[in-house]
Amino acid sequence: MKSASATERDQQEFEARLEAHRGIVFKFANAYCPAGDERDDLVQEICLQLWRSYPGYDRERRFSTWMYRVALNTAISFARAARTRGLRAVPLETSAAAALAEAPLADRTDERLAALQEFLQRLGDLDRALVLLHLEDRSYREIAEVLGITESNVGTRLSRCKDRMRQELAPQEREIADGTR
Amino acid sequence: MELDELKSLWQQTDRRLEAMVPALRLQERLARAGALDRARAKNRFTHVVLWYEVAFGAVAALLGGSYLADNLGELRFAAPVALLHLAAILTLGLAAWQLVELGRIDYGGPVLGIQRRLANLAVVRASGIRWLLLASPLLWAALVVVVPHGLIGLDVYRAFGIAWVGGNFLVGLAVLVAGLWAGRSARFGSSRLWRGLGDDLTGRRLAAASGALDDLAEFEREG
Repeated sequence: MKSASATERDQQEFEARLEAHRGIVFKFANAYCPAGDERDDLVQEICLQLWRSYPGYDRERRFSTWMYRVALNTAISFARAARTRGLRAVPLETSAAAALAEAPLADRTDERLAALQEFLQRLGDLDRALVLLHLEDRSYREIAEVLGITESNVGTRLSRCKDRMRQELAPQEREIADGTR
Repeated sequence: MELDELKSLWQQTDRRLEAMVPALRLQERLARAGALDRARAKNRFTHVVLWYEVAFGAVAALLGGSYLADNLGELRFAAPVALLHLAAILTLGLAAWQLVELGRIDYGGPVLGIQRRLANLAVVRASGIRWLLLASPLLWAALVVVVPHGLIGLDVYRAFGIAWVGGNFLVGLAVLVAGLWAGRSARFGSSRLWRGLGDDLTGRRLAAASGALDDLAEFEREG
């Protein structure tokens, strides 16, 4: 049994690691649950699940890889449960696009990010995870490790997602360029 | 707009997303995480329901087993109690298996594998509940025979006749059909409990769980 000081050390170590990677929690929660209240719940749920699962974290492995796994498993399960409860019907104005618009508009970057968020919402849970990890600049190898699929499958699926994105976002890109969006 | 072009933009979103969750302060929350975790683990709805099912199944299986042993020679009592005993054992086994499986799931495992295990659990649970609901007219008819006899020694076959038992079965069947109709025509209202019951009864929950499992299999398939 661990002593109180060992548990405290674990908690401090965990907090420091989580603090260093906190962006993952926010971005993933927003990608799976863009509506305000549910998103906050999901952020908390991911943090709790990370803490619960921390004793099983193998320190020989990268913390970020483990964190991606826990965050995605929690977010996908949470989003699935929300869909079952019928909570998913969030009007787009209050969802991803509007959520990003809450921050001050600087340039067309915001419109592009809003378009990306909308696109992410249209993807299935696992394709969304794949694209998120790609956006996080993870290698095919790490994405394969996080998701539990082969590297060639990562490549194939990602290429399909990119094609789909090109097709679906072309009209929005034109609107952004014309300033009509 | 190319996905790769958006990578650097995406990586700038951390601070902005953080600003959108004003109530959140990781340090503060994590300081309470241990206590919160214990409280939430204890109160998690799924676990509470599953433990209730284990307890209910165990008590029902014990009582049913004892009654069955006492009435083995009388088919008119042994047959209905055997049915109830089977339902109790299935409820107990299914709930215990789910509790063990849930306890063994490590969220730090590969996403596809963990999601498959969770989806499998959902399919098994949805199937179990649906079969139990569909069998409920039969279980109800068995119950109205066994409970009065077991509790006060009343033989309903002699007291009310076999038609009364058949009538109870038909009433159960009518309730089931009405439930199916209400569930399919979304007449269960806005209550989460009733809507859930409608989803279980009509097989919507099972279809959703099976669909999730199919999606996972499709994702795993290459090319």
